[in-house]
Amino acid sequence: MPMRTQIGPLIVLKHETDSIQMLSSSSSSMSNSSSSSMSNSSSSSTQSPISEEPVTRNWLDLPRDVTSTILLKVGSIDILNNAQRVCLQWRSMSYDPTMWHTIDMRNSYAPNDMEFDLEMMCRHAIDRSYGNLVDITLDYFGSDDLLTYVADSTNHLRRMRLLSCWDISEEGMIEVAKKLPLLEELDITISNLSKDALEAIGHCCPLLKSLKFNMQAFRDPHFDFDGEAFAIGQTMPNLRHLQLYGNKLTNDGVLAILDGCPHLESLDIRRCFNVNLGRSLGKRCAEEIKDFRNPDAPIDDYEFDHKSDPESFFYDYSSGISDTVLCDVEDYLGLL
Amino acid sequence: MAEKASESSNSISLNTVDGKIFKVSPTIANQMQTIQSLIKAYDSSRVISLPHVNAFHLSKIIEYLEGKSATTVSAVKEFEAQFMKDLSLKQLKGLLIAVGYLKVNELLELMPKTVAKLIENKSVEFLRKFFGIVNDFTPSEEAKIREEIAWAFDGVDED
Repeated sequence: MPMRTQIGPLIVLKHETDSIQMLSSSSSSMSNSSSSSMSNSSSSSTQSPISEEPVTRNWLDLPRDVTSTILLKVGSIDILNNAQRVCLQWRSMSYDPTMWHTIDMRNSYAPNDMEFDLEMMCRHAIDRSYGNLVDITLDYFGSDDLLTYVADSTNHLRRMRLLSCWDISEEGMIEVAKKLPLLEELDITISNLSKDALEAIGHCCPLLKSLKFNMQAFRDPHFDFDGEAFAIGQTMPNLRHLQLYGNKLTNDGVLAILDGCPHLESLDIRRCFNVNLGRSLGKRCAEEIKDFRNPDAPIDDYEFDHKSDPESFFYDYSSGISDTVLCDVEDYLGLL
Repeated sequence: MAEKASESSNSISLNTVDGKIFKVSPTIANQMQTIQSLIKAYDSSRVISLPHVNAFHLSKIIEYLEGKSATTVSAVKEFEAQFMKDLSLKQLKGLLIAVGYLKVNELLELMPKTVAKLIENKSVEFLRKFFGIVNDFTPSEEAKIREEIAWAFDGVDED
């Protein structure tokens, strides 16, 4: 997101002669560092060491855009539940439609511990976008009705992420796809959707460049299914990036994708246990795809939804989970 | 004097609000968008005054821009984590103002992200305390917000 920090006429240029005077007056204290040296000017009589800023500031001094960036990073749920209730300024910012071009409803609520009606909240967020919604993320909630509400609210949707949206049906998705002609990026991670939805998306969203269609990866039960891979290969010729984590496709599906999506730059089929890259298929993937992740590639950077089914996940990947996320949180808490 | 002038012919002099002069390389200066546009517009041998940036903030920004040119991705991550950890909350806020003013894009990404992590999922009271903000809503405004927040299960009407 581009920053729009406002800058007034605040910078004053001084003539070189001034600066030479200032530098030479205290040249003895100049540092030898080549990239940044510093000296005290003749005009500052009290030479305070560089250590701590003198003025105590409250947060409202921050440029509005910086505050917006922080709030956007905290996410839509926090803005609606907490930030907008802090003070008048934040409240007014929370009504700025530009704050709602991106609606990110990711959350850490456990499924049975939901304190809010996230769907109602999401509709409220959509209302605040005044038709300018570009990017939406739903996480562990959502229905066909909500999806229709999203699609009817905007003509500009370019990115949609549906994470563990179990209640969205194949029929619902097929209807909504017709209303998303500008969609470029779609992430459907863990869902009840399958090939018919993908076909509809392929037909209705010609600009689609990035697709994630991820599943929970089980070795058992064993079954093959290339329907989704075929749908992708047949309807999405402009795809650049494809992630099919844990899909049940076979080598035939991989071939259909390679043949049907000639512009593919990245292909991630980690945990697709039915794919057996022999010599020729492996070679073709390596040659044609710049960034190829094979079924056995490490999964430590995979963003999975921990709420989806933790037991089965850990059963399958007990060693594959990165602890960097946890370390980060501890680091940040150290700041307090 | 002539020698000094040639030595500094490539570097850019920045004068902070508390009257300290920093000489920085063009590589560093160009990562501050505000400075970059001024260098383009004016003779770079002049001293650029920064009325909203003090020496502490500028030194931290330079420290960041020099440090993050580490060789590996993990080294940069480590450096960034340490950089943020070394800042007190008060310093963090002040530095954000300077960074926003100078438009140091990488810090405008890193710092808000760090702050966001700190305030994620925190109560209204926590946020006010954290940022030193006083509640300036009137009781009727507060009532209106409560009414609006119908999605909290406590406040949901049964019908």
